[in-house]
Amino acid sequence: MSPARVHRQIRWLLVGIASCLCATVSNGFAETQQAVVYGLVSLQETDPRQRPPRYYRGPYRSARDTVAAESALQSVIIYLADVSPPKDGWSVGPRHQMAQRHDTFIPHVLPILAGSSVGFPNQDDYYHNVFSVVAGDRFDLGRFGEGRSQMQRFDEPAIVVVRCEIHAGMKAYIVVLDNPHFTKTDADGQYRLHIPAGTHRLVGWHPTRGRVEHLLQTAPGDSVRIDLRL
Amino acid sequence: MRRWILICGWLSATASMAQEAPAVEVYPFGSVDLLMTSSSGRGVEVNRLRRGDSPLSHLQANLFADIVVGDDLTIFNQITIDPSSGATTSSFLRTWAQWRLMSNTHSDLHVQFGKIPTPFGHFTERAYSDKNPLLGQPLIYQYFSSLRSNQLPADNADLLSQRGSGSGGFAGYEGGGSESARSGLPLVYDSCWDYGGGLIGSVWRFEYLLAVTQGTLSDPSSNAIDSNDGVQWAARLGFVPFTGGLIRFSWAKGPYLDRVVGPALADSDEVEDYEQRIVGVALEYEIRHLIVIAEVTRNRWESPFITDAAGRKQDLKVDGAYIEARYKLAPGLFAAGRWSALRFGRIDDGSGRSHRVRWDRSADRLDLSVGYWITDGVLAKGGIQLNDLHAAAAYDESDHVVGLSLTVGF
Repeated sequence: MSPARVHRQIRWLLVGIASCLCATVSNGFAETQQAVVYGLVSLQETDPRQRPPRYYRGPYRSARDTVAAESALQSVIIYLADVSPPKDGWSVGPRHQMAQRHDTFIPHVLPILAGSSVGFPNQDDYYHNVFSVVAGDRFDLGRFGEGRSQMQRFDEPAIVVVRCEIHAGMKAYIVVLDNPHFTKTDADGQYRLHIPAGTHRLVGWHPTRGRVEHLLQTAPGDSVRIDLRL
Repeated sequence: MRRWILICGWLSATASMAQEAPAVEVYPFGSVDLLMTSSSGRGVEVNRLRRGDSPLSHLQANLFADIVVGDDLTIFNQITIDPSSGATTSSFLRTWAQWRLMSNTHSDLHVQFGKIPTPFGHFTERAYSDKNPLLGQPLIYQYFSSLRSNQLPADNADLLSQRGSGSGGFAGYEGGGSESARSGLPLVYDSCWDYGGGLIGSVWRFEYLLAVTQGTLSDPSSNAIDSNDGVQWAARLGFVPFTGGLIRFSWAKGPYLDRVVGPALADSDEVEDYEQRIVGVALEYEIRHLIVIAEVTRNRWESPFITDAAGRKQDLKVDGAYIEARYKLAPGLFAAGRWSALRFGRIDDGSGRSHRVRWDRSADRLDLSVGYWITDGVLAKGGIQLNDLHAAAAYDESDHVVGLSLTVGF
């Protein structure tokens, strides 16, 4: 091996080591800039069930039984309302999914980052139709059958009311947010959200209970409990 | 009949209450329709219903309050408010119960009773303005013929004298019965549901319905007072051959004459001897943004004084059909069209020359519309309806409607 080649390899090795060191330091610094907010959400009353269909639609046109998509407590979204985006914008995460099963959209509420796409797989053995006519995010995927899925991209922050034209009781919400600092409550109403340290408005939102806000001040490494009531 | 309906209702309620106190949930909702029209000829009149209301009414509200009791019983309630009608509130009230007897992954079975949805065909659930892509309704489900249930034509010539007059209130038949003016009979009067009960369910790809009601499809007993002592039997069988396809066969028969014409009949006859018999086939095909629905019916009314050239009693036949399509052009924006037609059968004209003519003026209706969902629950529609009522030889009357409607759901 020639001395020039040895020098070149050593140089690349040093560059690699330096890069790893920089990344480690950078990550550690970013983590120390973060805080955690967690808490419990309570709802004042429970949601009614899905409205029953007024007309019998027969086999392969309606579910013989419906399923509960999720409890009302699981339909609460917690997010930060005002977070400046980085220079190159937020990176959009993996593709989301909202299925149709037993005449129900699952999940009932889906938070996504603006620019994300959502797949709508039909898991029933009859047609569904997925559409929204709310201004800003109008779309209509038409009717499609079992095993088929249609995709829709949501670019603008909005609360998109998703419906099925065939089954009037089917209704779901896609909450398109302008930053990735959001989460959903679990079945017990608990949530945990990593946020950038600083002063922010923490918002809790539910489709029928509306929203509550909480002004939040955190220092790097803080872990703050905020309980919300909707 | 009414007693049996009440007993069924009471038994169901008792059985339901006998269990642990079930959870009761009420779902109120409704819609308001505002409509502006411009018409020529009898364009609006041929859409008007017997109570004075109409799919073209300038203002109409439908209020619903569905009550779910436990897991298996649902009581559906609806009332229509239409200022253009002077009819009683009760005639606009629709209340029926649906009780789930069984349900599994392959089949289900429900019992219905009360003022039940029209147990025939494939239009009832699309009659509401937010489901109907057009302004008007198919002729089969709304258009009044010149045959009445409570006044009898004395003979063929008497019947023929009133051709084309069924939509407005009319009188003048000389065969007996009520002397008051009234509109004629449609094939299926979907606007008025009937009191009765039945079974509805499905097995595999089949759906079925078996119902018994007080009145008939053409003359339902909307106020719970039965007009004769007979009942109507109705059955419907549907099959889903593939996703997005549906074929439905419907059948119904029952006595349609009002007991008020009884004294005019021969001594050996009863009003219950004269029946309406109707069969129909409906097809539906859906794919992506397109829906196509077609339906054909064959109807006959037995009438005591209508005879053929040989003097034998002859039934009054009517064939009806419509085809309807709707296509979504963009999210919330659709275009739709429906052609519907009625063809009345021929009877001897009573002149003694064995000349046969249609016993009522056949009719064609073309509805075209464009609709736009402004937002969730708010639908604007603009449409035109062309009605052609046939004379014996050629079109002689054109009755058109242009309308703009706004439906607001809540």
